[in-house]
Amino acid sequence: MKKKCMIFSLVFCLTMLLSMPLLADGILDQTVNAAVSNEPITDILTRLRDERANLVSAQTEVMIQANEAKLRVEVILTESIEQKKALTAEQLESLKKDLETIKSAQDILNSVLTDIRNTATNYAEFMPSREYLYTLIKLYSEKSLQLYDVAKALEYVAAGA
Amino acid sequence: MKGAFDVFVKTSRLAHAAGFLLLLFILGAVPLGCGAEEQAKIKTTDSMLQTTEGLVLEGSGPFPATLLARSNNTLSNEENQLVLQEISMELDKVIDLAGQLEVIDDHDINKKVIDDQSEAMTDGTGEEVVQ
Repeated sequence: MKKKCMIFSLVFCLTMLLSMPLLADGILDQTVNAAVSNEPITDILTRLRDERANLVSAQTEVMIQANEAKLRVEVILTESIEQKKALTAEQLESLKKDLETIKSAQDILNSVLTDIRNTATNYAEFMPSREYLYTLIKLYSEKSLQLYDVAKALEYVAAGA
Repeated sequence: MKGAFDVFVKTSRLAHAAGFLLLLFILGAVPLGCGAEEQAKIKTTDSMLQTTEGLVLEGSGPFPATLLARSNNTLSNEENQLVLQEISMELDKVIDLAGQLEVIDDHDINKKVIDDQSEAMTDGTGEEVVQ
């Protein structure tokens, strides 16, 4: 009986110990939610406009870097045609990496487009609500970061690194 | 009678032991089984990557594959140019996709609603609009 009690206590303590982080998360979420629900609407809208501007800026950066990269490839192409010079193994290796970067950039851009479209479609009925505005802020913020990463990767392609 | 009782006790202990071992086996085998499944998945993915080496970049035509397969050798001038043209076309796709993002921003149905609300807020009339 004593043994059973000990085992039960051990299991109970272990369960409580494991569930502590989950409980803590819940408390934290509640605190954050309480804080954000008190945020003035004007502030939320300002943040949203800022995030959207940031997204547009990131998108512009992607286009600039992609155009730069294209320019570089076209210069190599022109040289190759004019001088009838074969690409070196290093150049080919570099182009191979560039192509992988470009493909990855396409995948990311596709997912950004899909996520934005889906959010616009799925949450449109909740418009206008704080929840929707927060969702958009989070989405624009995340997608901006992804786009800046893409721009950075394309910058390396443009530089021929 | 005592003999029968002893046999019963022994059988019962044996059953308990067998049950315990079975439980241990189940507890051990389930995660192992899951692991094996995961490993099988990884193996499959690996083999897919290996077997499609040079074709990992789907839908890009034969030249990137040539590029990947022969990157340590030299390609002919024509092949070089085709590879470069193809990379240029892939970059066009990137530009096009980024352009579509702009279109989303311009035509975002919510943009107007959000902007209208912002204006209402500035006028001090729209506090009730957003719950």
